[in-house]
Amino acid sequence: MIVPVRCWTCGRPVAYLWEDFKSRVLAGEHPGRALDALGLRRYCCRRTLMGHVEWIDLLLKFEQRQ
Amino acid sequence: MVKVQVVERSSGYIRFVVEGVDAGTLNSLRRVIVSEVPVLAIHEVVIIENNSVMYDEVLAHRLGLVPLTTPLESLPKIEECEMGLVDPTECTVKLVLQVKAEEPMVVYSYMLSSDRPDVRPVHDNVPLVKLETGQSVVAEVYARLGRAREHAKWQAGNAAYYAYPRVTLSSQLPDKCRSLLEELCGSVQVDGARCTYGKLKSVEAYCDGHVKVDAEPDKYVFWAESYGNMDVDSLIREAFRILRWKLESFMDALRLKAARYAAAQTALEE
Repeated sequence: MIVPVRCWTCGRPVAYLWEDFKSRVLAGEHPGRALDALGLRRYCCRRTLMGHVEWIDLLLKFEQRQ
Repeated sequence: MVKVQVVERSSGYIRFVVEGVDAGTLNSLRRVIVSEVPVLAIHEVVIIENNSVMYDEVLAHRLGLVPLTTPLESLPKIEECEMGLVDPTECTVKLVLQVKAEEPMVVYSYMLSSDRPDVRPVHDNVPLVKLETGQSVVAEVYARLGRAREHAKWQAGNAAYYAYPRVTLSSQLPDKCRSLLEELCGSVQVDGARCTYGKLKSVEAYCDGHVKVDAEPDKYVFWAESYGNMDVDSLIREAFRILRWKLESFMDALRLKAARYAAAQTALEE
């Protein structure tokens, strides 16, 4: 639903890198290069960020009362 | 004689080559780093208000996973906390989260305000939950010292080691092997501290006989990484302290057992 705070497998905190990662990728940077630059060495942490979908934004649509 | 040579070092990461130590000793150090070094993590959450899209349990779980700075020198030892030798409040820190959304917003970890200035979230921008206008989250949370053996949120860091590779190259090294070595290890002159044993073993399997890789006896490459709660030096120092404590308590238990056995034997003889 929202970014995992830590890597599922090794427990390294990853959530604090999410917004940086997202803006880098949206700016056209190669996701692999971006993860290298953020210092995620292990593939378990890399897939935790790579595979994330921010579903919470969809849920929030139902909460908008205008 | 144990020889240690540091290859790479920063405040959160260390990699060194050790000689003259067996794998068992290194493995016990690794296991202590992974599952015994204590850190602070949020363990109790009193939710006063939560009308966000996230359930209370999920929010509490996310709060628990947020890494907190842990000044070990100004906290009681973990054994004292576990055995009740100190007041439990000394092993606990209170934090408060109070957010009301005036517009759509993200609740970040820096919004947790702590009672102690030396205990705070390691990273300021961990997204905890997203709020829509009018929603609010109010919670009183308590962090306590704990070990990763109990829950992964108390994990202080990670560590691993591998055998130091000894590489023998044939004089007629085929081009495919040369390029493979360059791609995986950076150069044909392999630096064992940087190119892993496992990688080299796959090169060996691919190069039919032109590259021979075996393990140097009692020589290992060890790396440790801190997850930010403390620097890697304090992490390793605390790991050694805990390891020594464990060995001492094992010896004490063994001595007690031996003394009881001896006493029972003499009682039998009389």
